[in-house]
Amino acid sequence: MKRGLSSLDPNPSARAIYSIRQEKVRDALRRNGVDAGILYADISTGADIAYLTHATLYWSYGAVLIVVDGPTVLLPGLSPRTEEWFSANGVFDRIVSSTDIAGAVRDLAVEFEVKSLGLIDSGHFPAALREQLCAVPGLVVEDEGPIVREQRQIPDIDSLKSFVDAARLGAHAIATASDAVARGETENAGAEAEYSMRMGGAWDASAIVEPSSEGGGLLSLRCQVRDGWYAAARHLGDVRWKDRGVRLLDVMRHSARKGGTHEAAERLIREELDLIPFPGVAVVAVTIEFAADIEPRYRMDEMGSFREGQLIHMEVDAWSKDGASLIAVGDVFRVGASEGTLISSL
Amino acid sequence: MSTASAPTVERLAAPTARRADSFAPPYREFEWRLSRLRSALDDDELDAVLVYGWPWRSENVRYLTGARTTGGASLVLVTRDDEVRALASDVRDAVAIRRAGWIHEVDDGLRAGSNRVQQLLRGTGPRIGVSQIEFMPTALLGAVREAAGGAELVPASSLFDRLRLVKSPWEHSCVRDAVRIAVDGWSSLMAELRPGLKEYEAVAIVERELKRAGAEDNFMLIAFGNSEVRGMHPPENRPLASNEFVRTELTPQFDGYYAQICRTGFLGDPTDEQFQAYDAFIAALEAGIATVRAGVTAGEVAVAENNVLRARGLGEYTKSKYMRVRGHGVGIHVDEIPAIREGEGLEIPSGATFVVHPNTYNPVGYIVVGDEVIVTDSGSERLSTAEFVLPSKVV
Repeated sequence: MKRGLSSLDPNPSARAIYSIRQEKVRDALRRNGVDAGILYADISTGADIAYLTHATLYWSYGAVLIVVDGPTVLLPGLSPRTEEWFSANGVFDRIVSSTDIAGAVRDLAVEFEVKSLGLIDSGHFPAALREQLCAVPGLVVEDEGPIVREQRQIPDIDSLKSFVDAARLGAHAIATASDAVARGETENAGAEAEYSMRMGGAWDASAIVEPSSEGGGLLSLRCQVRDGWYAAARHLGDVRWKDRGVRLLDVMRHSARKGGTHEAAERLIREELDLIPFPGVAVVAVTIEFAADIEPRYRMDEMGSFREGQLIHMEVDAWSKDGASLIAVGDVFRVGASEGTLISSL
Repeated sequence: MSTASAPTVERLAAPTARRADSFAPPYREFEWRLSRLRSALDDDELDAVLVYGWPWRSENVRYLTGARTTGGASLVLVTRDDEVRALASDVRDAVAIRRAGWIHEVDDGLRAGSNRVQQLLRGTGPRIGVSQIEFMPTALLGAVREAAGGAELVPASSLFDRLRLVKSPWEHSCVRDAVRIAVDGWSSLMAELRPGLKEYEAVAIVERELKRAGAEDNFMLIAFGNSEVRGMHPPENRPLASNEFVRTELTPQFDGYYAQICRTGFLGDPTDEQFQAYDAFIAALEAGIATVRAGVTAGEVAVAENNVLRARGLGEYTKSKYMRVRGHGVGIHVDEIPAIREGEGLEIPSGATFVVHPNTYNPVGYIVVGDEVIVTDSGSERLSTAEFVLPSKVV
């Protein structure tokens, strides 16, 4: 749940960051020949909107309409009573709060003479809303790719700061959880980890510690700061896994190199797992995704080869035949020319 | 992309009702829910229902699987006779569903370009209900339409809203636990109030308490301040000052079930006007709860609350400009039916759970007070009780 500190920095330079990003989207839309673009999100998929406007969809759903020769309009699917808060904490030219997004777009299209509308990341766009927009008289709806997420793939310096800030909070939370486990308070380790992230200013934070049969626990952690996400998994308090975890993370880091691929990275990770067998493993899941995609969503895109500067989340999870968690190791890496860098060390 | 390989989770042992995950609800819950759902399929003349869930709206997936899914998209198919089957986009979610022990046939291959949706929908009839179809992504709905062949896809979100409205004794016990930890969370906040405490720090304090008590999640809005506060919002950097209100809607989730309490407190010495305003809201809350029993409409509860405010000269603040609803259902999702507002004709059945909250802006600022109830034939079981006098902490 988004319930962390999401106040906008009052410094005017903070606003400029978002205006520049919106202009980049305008440029892309202009190149694609549409008069405006619309990006939809909900409470669980709001990082692209945060990247563009700093606004956080703390409840329900919403959209951002970017008119190529006009304003950026935030369209939260909430009551108008929320407009004051959004306006204080987001960067946009106008706000129209309504659960009827298509109706709001219809009115704005008339006002700004929008004849063609691009659905940004159209595969993820709700089909029902798409149909409503297609029915707006005089409006031609076009499919657009993930223009905003593509911008975030190799983060600009401010976006990178969001990812690094999230990673630093996450790293501190791992240490906090580890201390709790060392004190014999495994049952409270998740609470302490979340507390440390929220006190540090995380927009969203989640830390789950599953007690392990060998003592200690398996930590799975997520942290969001602005448009930056961090995800990590660790064995806490299980000495047998300390070296194995380090080795796995090292393999991941080496895999995060320019020109590398999802398949090659997964192969190396699985080979390493074969070298350090863990009794009883029945199911192994290897997650490799761009950090810009850490937010859960219906997966559609194949990963291309890794580009220098991209951020990649890699994680290995494994379970016994009975479904008990046995392995949880993962982190976020920045792709380098010959090998990656652990993001929390940037 | 491979589409032919077997589901990864098939390598897990087959679940049995007796060997279910210790966190999962009892198997009899699944049987009860399935039986009621299949009756609803008959009523709505549906051959099957396809349930779509994703992290924001996973309530119906959880209702039918007993599992907490967090990774991405999930689909669950229920036909009139066949075994229930599930398809997830994330292996971790598929494992969670298998571990819960309710569903045997679980696949983790839900990704664009795979043919797994086709396998999931095999053998369904010509009329398929789809819950949350209004939110389904274009690409996924395209895959569902293709897999369904010529079958008619019928919106079925309201079917699940009605189904989940009446809760079982096991569900009631979860809601009671969630209320209990919500009350503890509020106590922890009041204990920590001090000048300079920031809103986001207050949320961190409360959530640590909730999580230590076993909460999975929490939805929480907060606002420090006085007459300038016109609504609740996510936490800001704003520090608390002496002689200010503290208000929060606290909604922890326990064993899958949310429960909400709404509380207003004060740091310092409230004025008479602030005391009186709070008193009016408590009276409205009490009037609303006194009205609750099986068979009353949601509108009648709202009218009872609003009439108290009207009688106290606050009638202006019963309009939508200043408030949203006078309460709402809470359960496996944070905001369910019934919506407690004037004119709402839904008759509330025995077994429903909802929060009564006359939360409104008024001249002293926004005030929130709310307690959750379980509806009974003769009235209600009240799960918490807001302080009758504005709770204040002297500094």
